[in-house]
Amino acid sequence: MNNLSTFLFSKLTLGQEAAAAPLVSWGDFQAILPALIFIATGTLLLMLDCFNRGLSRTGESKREHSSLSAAINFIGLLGTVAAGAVVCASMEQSQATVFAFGDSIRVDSYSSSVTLIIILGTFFSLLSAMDYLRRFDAEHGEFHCLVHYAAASMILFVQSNNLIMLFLTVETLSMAVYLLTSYLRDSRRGVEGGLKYFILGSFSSGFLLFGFTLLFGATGEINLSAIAGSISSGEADQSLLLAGMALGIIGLGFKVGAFPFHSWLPDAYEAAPTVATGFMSVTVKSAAIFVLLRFLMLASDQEGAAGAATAAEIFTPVLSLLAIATMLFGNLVALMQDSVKRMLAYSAIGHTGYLLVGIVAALGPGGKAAAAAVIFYLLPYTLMSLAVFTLLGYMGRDGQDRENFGDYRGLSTQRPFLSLCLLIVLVSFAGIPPTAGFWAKLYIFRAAVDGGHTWLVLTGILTSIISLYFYLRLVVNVYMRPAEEEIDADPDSNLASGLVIATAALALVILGIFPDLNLEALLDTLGR
Amino acid sequence: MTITLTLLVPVLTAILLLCIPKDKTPQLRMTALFGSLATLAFSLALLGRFDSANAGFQFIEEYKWVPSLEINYHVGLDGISLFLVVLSALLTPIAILCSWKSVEKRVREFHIALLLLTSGVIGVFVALDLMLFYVFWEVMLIPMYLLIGVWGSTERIRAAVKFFIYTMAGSLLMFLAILYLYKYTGTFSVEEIYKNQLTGTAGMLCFLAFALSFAIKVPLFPVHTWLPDAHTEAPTAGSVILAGVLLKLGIYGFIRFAIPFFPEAASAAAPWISILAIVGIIFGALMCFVQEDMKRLIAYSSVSHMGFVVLGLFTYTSGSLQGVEGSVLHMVNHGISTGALFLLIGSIYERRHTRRLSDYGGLAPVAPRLAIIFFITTLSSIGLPFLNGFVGEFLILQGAYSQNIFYAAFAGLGIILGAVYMLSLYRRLFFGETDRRENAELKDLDGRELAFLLPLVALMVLLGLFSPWFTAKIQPSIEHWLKLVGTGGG
Repeated sequence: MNNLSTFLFSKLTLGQEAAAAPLVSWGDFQAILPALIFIATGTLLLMLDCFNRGLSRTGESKREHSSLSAAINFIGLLGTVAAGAVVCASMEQSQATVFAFGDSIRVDSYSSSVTLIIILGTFFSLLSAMDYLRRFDAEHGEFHCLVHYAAASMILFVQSNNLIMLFLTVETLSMAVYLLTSYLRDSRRGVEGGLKYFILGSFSSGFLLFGFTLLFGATGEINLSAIAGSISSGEADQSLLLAGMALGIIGLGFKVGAFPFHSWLPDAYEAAPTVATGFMSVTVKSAAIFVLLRFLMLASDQEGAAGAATAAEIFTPVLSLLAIATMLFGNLVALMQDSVKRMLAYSAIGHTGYLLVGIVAALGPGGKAAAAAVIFYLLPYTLMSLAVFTLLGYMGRDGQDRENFGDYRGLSTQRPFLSLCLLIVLVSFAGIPPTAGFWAKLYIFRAAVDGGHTWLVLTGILTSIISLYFYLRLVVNVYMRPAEEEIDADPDSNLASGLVIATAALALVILGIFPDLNLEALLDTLGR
Repeated sequence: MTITLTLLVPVLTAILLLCIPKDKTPQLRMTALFGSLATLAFSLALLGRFDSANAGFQFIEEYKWVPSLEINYHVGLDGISLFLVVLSALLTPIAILCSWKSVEKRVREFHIALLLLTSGVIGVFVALDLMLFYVFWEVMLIPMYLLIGVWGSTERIRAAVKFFIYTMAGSLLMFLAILYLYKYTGTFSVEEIYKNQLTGTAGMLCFLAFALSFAIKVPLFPVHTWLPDAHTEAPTAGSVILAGVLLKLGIYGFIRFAIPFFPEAASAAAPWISILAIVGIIFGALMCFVQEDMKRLIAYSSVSHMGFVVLGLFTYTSGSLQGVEGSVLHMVNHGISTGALFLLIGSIYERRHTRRLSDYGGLAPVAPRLAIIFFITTLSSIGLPFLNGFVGEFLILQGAYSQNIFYAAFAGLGIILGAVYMLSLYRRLFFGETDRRENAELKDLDGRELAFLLPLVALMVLLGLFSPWFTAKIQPSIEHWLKLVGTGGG
């Protein structure tokens, strides 16, 4: 044990010694500033909440309580905006790849793009949580704190450049998300879902850790770039390497919710308070998809290496199979759901499948376009998912979400604009123009067709047809069936949620008509 | 700019409608009507400035749209799409007028859907970039789906979902083919792909994907089953647009995309498609005999008519100019006469609230204006000389005869059957005893209804009498097209 840590330490500091630089410099902290802001705000909010605890929600101190809650919300949002501004500023300043903390952090244009998406998702989640938690009478500061900690660890997760960092951050983020899942601790469902997620999640962490160990054993490196170098030079032990990669894929496949490792996902999504579901479905998935992409590109990103080609070749069929199974499973099972929330959970699995198609394409030649396509997909997906889960929360009342399809009957007569937004979001989910969802699918499928993965695209298209049915089912209820009762979701208490939904819908249409607003910028950042 | 304006005016009107409070019904209707009339005016401007001598695309506009994916906003018109654009623009104000009284719930959303639909279909007819075309092709689905599903009759939801899933299934396969085509040619520009026609197995597979998508839209037997449902359940305005314009999109797709992109595969598949078209002609006609529901009957007659159009189009393999010309003309003719039939039936339905034929009889003495206009429309639909239907059918028969005498024989049989079922529909509606009190009290057409019916009747006569003026605009483009697909001039 001792030997190992000495060894690791020497590995960590090796690069620094060569450059004779100080072990940690100010620039290192600058690289992780967004994450630091989240951690600081989260801690601050937790402390602020202590003052809120003592105040009763009725009588004289009610006002004080609500003003303190407002302050907590405000500070939380402010921290998110600050983090976003920092990322934007640093992207503006330089596109160069920055390594920090002795190569264990890598900030480049890819990870910055994903960081921005995570921050956007966090911001929208916090905004919609303002209404939701108040109405559900669950306004505790630890929600904000957990969201901030999760966001911080996700940012570090996408920035990590060595196996230890990867594992530590994935654990921290999982812990935060497990807690968020069972945030409504008085509900049985919440506790059950959280526990299920926790137990299965620990399993997957075990796989991940074992996989990382084998990778380390095969290459003698913990640094991702060094591992890639060792793979491409052919020095690494092939069988250990493949086993390590396979276990890593399983571990990360669990986090993204790919088919055989998905079983936690519907339960966790259903159990979590709807705002937390939105948050998880967007940020955790974005982060994990990106890390999976980067992890797999280890084996393919190297030019002209014979050994590397075999690793990519071996994993391409496996991942293709995984993608096909995920697309089919997610969309087929979503077809049979009676609860909107579960339907969305399975459709999220389906979307993981489409993302996996992009990842498979990224393994082949011309992988850069496919990698860009995967990242491009994340933004519309974030907007759609957040909008729809926010809407689910918006409709909730009496501490209950409105989860059945029938609850949405006749929504369009009572809330025409909300329904229009929902229509746009669902159309975008189904990948129909003129919405951003269409371009996301187009870009991924185009990259896959270019890479010769016609079967994957064909499955993607067939499952898209299947998915039409369950997205339309909601549209049918909203637009075509008469209302049975007055929908008494109060728009005044849902101002922030309404804002989130409207902004997301508008953004989806604008991006749908001018996809280059994002695409062009993304390609500029990533390099064509 | 005119094309862009034609496309934009309906969208802008729709956005304007969104700003008007939803209970101000008259203002909403007037705004929508003006918007659609403006669209019509722009399309007529296109017609007026169209240069008949020019066989290529006119009024071309090309801007970069999504440079990172090499997709351009590229639009233009030729003789083939010209009249289809005008027809689409013409039918929208008519659809708005005919819904003036019958659509009372969610008036604002209704008109928004109708206007967006107009934009979508016109966009399909003018798009010269494959991805732009696909975007328009899909954009129009949602409004049509909502028109059927929200404002339709009792079985509307099933019909709407069926319509949507059928069409999407076809178009998503086409989407794959488009991506493959892009991989092969490196461009989405239609004219570039013309120069780079895809052959071999890949060409065949791509052709099949395109053809399936278009065949569903036409609809060709045996993928026609969504049509009777959609037609029957849609509100009158929806049926008019569906019959008048949407069915033409499939044929247009064959002409503009599927055949010239993959001429080799298309001519290999031509006999099979022709046979399906003939089956459609006869099957559609026979189905008409057993329909009790007036709208369903017209829907099946559309299946039969569209069979004619497809048959005419695929005579191009023998280099027949007449066949193709006939099929382009017949598209327009069918749009006018079937559109008018749906309007008339809509008017009758508004008065009696039943579509069952057995509920009617003896309407002629009660409602003479209705009877006369219905009669002219019936005659136009069965192809009486001097009315529009004749010209197209005659040219198609001529083309079919030059290709294969059996095709012509079956098509001729279809025309005879068509005359029988249409005249018997007329007889059951208008002749006989006026034995029901509701029928005896039926009101004749009023001024509003005449306002949208008479222009169509006038067009039936004009197209019948002055068809050379129309063919002169179409012909150069078709000759050019025949060269493109490799059967012209030889």
